[in-house]
Amino acid sequence: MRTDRANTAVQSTLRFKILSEDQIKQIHSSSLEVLASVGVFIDSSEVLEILENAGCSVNGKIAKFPAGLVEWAINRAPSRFFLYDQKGENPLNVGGYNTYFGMGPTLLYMLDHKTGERRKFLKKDTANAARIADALPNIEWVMGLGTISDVNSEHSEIHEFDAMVRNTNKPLVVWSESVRGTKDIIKMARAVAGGKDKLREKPFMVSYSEPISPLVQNKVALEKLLITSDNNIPTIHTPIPQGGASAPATLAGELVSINAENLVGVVVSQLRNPGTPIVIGGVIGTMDMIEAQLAYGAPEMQMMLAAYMDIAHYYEIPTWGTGGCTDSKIVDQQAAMEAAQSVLYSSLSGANLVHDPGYMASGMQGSLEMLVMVNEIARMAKFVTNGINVNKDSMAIDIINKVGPGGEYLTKKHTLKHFRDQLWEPELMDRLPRDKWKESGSKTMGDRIIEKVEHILETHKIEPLPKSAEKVIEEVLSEYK
Amino acid sequence: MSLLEDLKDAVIEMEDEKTPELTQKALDEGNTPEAILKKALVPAMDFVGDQFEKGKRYVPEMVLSAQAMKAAMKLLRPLLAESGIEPKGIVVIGTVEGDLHDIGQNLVAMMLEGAGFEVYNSGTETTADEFVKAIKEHNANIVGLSALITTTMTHMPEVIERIEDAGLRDKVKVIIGGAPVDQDYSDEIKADGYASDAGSAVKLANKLIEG
Ligand code: B1M
Repeated sequence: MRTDRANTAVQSTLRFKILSEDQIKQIHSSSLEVLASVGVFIDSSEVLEILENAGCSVNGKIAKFPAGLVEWAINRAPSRFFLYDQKGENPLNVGGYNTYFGMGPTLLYMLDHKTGERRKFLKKDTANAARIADALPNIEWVMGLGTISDVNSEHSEIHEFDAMVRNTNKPLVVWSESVRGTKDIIKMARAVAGGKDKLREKPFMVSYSEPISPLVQNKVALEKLLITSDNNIPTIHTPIPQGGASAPATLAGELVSINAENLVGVVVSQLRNPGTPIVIGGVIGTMDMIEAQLAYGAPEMQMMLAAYMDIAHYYEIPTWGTGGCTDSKIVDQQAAMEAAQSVLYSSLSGANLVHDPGYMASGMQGSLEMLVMVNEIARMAKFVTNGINVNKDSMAIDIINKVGPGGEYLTKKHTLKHFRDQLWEPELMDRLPRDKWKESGSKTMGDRIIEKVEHILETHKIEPLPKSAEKVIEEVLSEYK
Repeated sequence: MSLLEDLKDAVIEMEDEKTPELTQKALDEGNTPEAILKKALVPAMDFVGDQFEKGKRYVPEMVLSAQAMKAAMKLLRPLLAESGIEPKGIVVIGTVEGDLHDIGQNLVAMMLEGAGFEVYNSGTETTADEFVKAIKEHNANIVGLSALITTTMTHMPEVIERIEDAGLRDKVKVIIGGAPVDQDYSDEIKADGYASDAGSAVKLANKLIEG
């Protein structure tokens, strides 16, 4: 919904919609029908009890949801939340059409920017990715990127948190494969924020968990959802369907199915703690039917994500988008095309927290270079979504009249006043005249990206953690030997 | 066209609602179960497999043909057993403890079925003991372990150990697959082989039973 106030000048920014309002309502009501008629497999007796008490019919582990309950929860869920940096400053306004890019979780491999080879994901990779993101203005929050393999992998998320908070001050999205891990991450986060109340008041952390398509909610994911809801920690609880395999092959059918899955997270979180922030969305994928791979660069995915953002905007619930990723194995033309397309789609459809910049090879491999490239793409997208400011001054009639036919604008104060904020300035895009480009080494985009990666890693400094936070983190780490 | 050819076409055309009926008719006409298998079902799946390899058929077409074949096999299997004809191989497959990723292993199971294996899919989060139990119960000669996460793949050696403890290691070939594992890991844990996708899993299984 638009919340423009009366008597103010409204600036229309560029957005698109994939679905009409009628189509949104059709999908919404179909999801309600699925939830009411076939229901969802809920692998947690605690959650089943909560649902039954709220009016769901429960049979074994299948819960069926009355439409009224689901709509109550949709209305109860906040339309936005404010996600602060670790010092409790510079909040991101997560809601509406605001788009913020960050990384993704738990990749197996890293494309080493020095060797160009794929290798196992290490703790230093999370540290480097966090530091790169910290330096990039358009990567606005941080996730661990990979599963750290050079520590006991069962506790990788604890080391991931450690590596992240030491290398960035930006907001974090965290995950854990266990309830214990989730609790310990909360403990460490409180120490970083300066106490339990501080974290509650100015959260810098969002938790991530996943249902299983089609229509299954597994135990650990639900238990995590309960803990984070109890603690008012904003929670992403979103699926990774593959159209044709774990969701219908029709795009609308997939939307109906994954919307139902998302709405279960909304209902459970709002029943547990009304008003706690919940985030909907997902990796709304398709299976590549030749290779049986989840395609991360597919236009179908971009379309469905954009359509799902329309539905989420209708609900006024913040979203988890997917973009800046690729199925390519190297940072090549395909990687750039897929990342650019998805970043623009995410931005135009107003996805809020967009994950997976840096993701490659069907969610298997990460890359620092991709992060740097996506930063530049996101800068372009942001410029586009900002739209054109139309007012008396910007229409510049006075100056047009003054310059008149055959004049010039380079020497005019009007140009001086506006060119910096009105014109987009490339950082990585090459616009050199050919001779200059040759003299400076005939560098490709890939070369420039690697230079930037290395420059950031060499020069970008992070303030050390407060001693008190460090102590708690050390303590938790020592329990995970 | 003969009934056997109709049956072969029905498998190729993914008509699982037709294949049981055609199989029954073929039996009624006096064809032996073995002849039906060898002259209709196997050539149909060979054709489909070949088309899949060449990229002329896609995954759903492949698995729906396998389903059509499976529907026919339901009728034939008991008859084949009666006449002492063993299935080509008996496979127990599942994802290891803690692993909920089942899309890939289900696909592998379906493709193995399509290739004529008798497959028992024990689903997600199968413990080592459950694998051993299923191997005994179904008299399996192949066990397939699937893991998609680094924290669950470590259950693979455990399963192999338990199979050894049960004295079954000589009887079953162990094949592994899933995103984080590879041939090196297979060698390391002394499995009998690794397959990177469903098609190669079938090839591997065929190779292993031929010895
Ligand atoms: C016996 O012989 C054989 C032979 C061949 C075999 C074989 C057995 N098994 C497989 N093969 C081979 O043949 C198959 C067909 O060609 C192939 O099977 P695949 O399964 O590879 O291929 C399928 C046909 C398509 N591929 C898939 O279905 C998997 C896709 C990805 C994106 C994926 C999905 C969809 C899911 N996930 Co998960 N998931 C990922 C996956 C990334 C990826 N690209 O693998 C991966 C595997 N997941 C991961 C993780 C970490 C997780 N996931 C989780 C959950 C889920 C969903 C529920 C959302 C969903 C699974 C739904 C389901 N029913 O299976 C969580 C764990 C749940 C659990 N306890 O198991 C969670 C912990 C959540 C998280 N990210 O925090 C990562 C593992 C990283 C690591 N370090 O190990 C991951 C690489 C993605 C990522 N980057 O985060 C071959 O591998």
